[in-house]
Amino acid sequence: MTVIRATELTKRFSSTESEDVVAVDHVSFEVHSGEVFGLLGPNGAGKTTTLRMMLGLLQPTSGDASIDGCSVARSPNHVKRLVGFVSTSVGVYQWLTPREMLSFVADLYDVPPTVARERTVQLAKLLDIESFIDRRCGVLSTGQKQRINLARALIHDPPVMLLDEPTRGLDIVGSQMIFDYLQHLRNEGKAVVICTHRLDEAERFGDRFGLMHHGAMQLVGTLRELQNSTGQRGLTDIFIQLMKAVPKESSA
Amino acid sequence: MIAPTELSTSRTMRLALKELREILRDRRTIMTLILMPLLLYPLLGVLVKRGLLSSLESIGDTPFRLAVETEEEAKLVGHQLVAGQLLLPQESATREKTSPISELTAAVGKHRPMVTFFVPTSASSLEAEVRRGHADVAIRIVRSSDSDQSFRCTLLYRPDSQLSVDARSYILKRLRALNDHHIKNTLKHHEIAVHLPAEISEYTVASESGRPSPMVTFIPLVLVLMTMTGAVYPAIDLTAGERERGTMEILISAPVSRMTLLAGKFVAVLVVALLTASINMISMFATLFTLGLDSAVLGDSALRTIPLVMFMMLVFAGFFSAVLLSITSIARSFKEAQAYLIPLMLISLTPGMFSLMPDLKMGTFLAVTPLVNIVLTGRDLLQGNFNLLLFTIVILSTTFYGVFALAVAARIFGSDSVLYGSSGSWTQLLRRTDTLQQEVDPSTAAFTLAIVFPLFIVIGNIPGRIGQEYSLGLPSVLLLNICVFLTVFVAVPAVVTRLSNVSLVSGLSLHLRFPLISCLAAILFGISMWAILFELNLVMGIASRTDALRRMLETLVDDLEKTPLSIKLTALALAPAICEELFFRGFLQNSLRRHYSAAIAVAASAVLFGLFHILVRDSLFIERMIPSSIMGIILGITLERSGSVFPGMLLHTIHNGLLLCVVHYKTQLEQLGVGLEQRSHLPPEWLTATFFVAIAAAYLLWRTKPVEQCSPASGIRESVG
Repeated sequence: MTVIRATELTKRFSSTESEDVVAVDHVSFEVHSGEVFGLLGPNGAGKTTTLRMMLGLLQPTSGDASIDGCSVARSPNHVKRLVGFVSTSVGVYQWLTPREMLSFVADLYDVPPTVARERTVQLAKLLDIESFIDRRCGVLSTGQKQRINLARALIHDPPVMLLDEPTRGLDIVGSQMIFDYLQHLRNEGKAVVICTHRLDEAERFGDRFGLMHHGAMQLVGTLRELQNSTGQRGLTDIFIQLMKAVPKESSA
Repeated sequence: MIAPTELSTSRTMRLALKELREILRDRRTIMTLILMPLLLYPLLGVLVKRGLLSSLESIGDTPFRLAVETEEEAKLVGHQLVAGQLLLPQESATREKTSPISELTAAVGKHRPMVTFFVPTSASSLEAEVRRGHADVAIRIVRSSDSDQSFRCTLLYRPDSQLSVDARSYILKRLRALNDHHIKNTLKHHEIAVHLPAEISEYTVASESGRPSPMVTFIPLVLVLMTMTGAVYPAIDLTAGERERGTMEILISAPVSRMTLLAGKFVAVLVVALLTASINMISMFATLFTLGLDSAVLGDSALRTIPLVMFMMLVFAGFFSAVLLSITSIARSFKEAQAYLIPLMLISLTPGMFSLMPDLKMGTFLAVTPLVNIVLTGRDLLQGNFNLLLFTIVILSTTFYGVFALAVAARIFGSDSVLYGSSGSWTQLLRRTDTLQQEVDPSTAAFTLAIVFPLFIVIGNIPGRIGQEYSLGLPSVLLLNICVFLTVFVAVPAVVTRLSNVSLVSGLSLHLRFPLISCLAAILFGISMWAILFELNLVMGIASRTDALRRMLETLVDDLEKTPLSIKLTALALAPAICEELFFRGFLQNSLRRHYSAAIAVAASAVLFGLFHILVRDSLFIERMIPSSIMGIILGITLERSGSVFPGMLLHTIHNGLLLCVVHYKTQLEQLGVGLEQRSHLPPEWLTATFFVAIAAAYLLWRTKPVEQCSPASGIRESVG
């Protein structure tokens, strides 16, 4: 079942120079429930901007996205309830404990307190945060903070997860924890979009991929489909070929 | 898009609690909030006391100045004082315990040549000498006896001056010692004391209000500065700080309106600002009381006005918290926010220091000058001078400025261009929109209100003053008044509307197409409401206060009677009706209606309409609030139902015009039994008729369906927050 649908999403930023910068250029794709969709591309390809438009944090210049049939432009609040959002740029509240922070976020999403407490226990077990759940977030390590953020995104049990570079700054143990988390999401039947420029990692967790370059979606498909269409073995090779084929001027 | 503007009060409170929990766990906040004031004021207090001590040491040789009416009386009193001095025990003669200050004076009292006498010139009374501070104390001999040098006297002193109080104690102590000694002697000889050597009655004199004490001015300035200091850190932390730490995205990606998020932060900053102000105030006053400096610095009347000072600080804290949030919402990092705020603090400091000038008197212009108005009102309140009109103007103007700042903050806070925009793109928020809009947005309306109110206060009195200065006739003054109305209520909103790229027709509700039935309703309301409000005034006892207004405007009323009715109708009915309708309904209500329900938009504009009507010349008439607000509601509903400002203008003109006609034809009305002077009720048949007319008008208005207004902007409206 199609849960996420992006249709011709476009974002232009006004620049100090005369011409506007096109960050995202008519991007369209779909993601089904229980599927992990890797939105791939180098830094500045427009992945994060696409994700922010899908969540309603940024207003698209044109185009729209829908989550579970709801238009982001028309029902932004309803869409926000359906989405969990994880990003390395998202921090934690320094002076709250993870338990307090989860309870606060649950309240933002109108999760009843008793349900929030139950979910906190479950997530603490799943993400192994029980040992520091009552310590101040400010004193936790980067990996521990990232686990808090993963729990925070799931506290309202959304059917859709958007993850932006979730492994950035994490060591091997931390990255492995993310892979386990993605597997958990897949098992739960959630539709997942994950942005990353780590193509080697993406091959391990993605079901389907969208390759972005200079703001435009260049290729969409499963690894096998992409291999067949390009004749290359891995995502890295596919991307190198793509970058050679699409010079900057042609897309901007 | 994506900027829901609904406001949830319970969620706002929960958000504010979470923010406060975070702020109060941070030790840096605790340092600024609690420790600083707790350490600062005792330290300052000790320094002030040391300063006083050294100043007293420098005036240690200055004796008390005692005024008497003649040289003979000076000799007489001097003699008795010396006698009293000799009777006092040696220890108590040098140590008089009235207050810590007098302890200090006593410490240096050994070198004091006690008292110097002086006899004022015949033109000046003893009271005047004491009042002006030329004499610390005065003695008026009522009856004296040459045989035993006894006298009966009245002692005059100023209870609000510590020096005068000390001089009084000094003299009383010696004269009482003499009396006690005399009584003891008399009793010893089994005789009855008929005449005391110095029979004293006391009489207090209030100080002439002269130069305000610099220390009293210092207190509100310190409070204002400390409130600002207390609010700065949380304001930065909750906006730019959140953005820098990446937690802002948690909030923005949640299904909570930006307005609610901002309101939660505003409440948290306000609470911290108020906590800082309260702790500072408590610490400051506790220090003053502990060191015994309270009466020296504040005087007796200050304690009564402290609640008013606190209320004013509440309004100021709200205003400044909103200003801070609007500025820090622009910043992307803590450092950037600090860079924006330092100039603001320096700019704020300048008018604050300016207000320390002792001769600076509060007037209407200063009453609408942000920050200076708060410091000066604080100074005046602590000196026991309470002017209700100026106090109201200060509170209203500060509130309007605060609402404007909050509206700006709501426009900026969490907007995508601030959160993620490329460099410089946040300036787009303040840039004029390219597309033609239907009405001005509420933040711009708040901005206009923040301009119109002070302008109304400052230039509203100009026609009267020019009239007095150049001895102009009433028609000329009325003409100038029309110019003021046109400037304040028409030119300002019109310019703002055009600058906001809004068409004048839609922005000021100047639609020429409106249901004729609403016009009929307006006419019926116009001819009926004056009678209903007239009776309401009588029932509520407002008329007695209106007499005060009448007395105040007595000269004006006389001139008014001589002025032709046509001029009066133009200047006092037509012009105000057109101008006020354009601003309060066409502009303000229309703008509020964009984001709020009809009830809120009508009520808000009606209350503002009422508030503008309570300020009459140099006085405050709170009683006018209710009738004016009722009219405001009716006029607001008329706009809501008709979709145009013209029926309201018609209603307003007829209403004002009929009231003027009633005054103009009062002699003819008296013949009909309607006595305005006697405040008699209107004839019952008049009342019944107008009541039914008003009911009919209300019914017609209810039946009115607004015409769909065509506008060049229709179809391009966006739900931009």
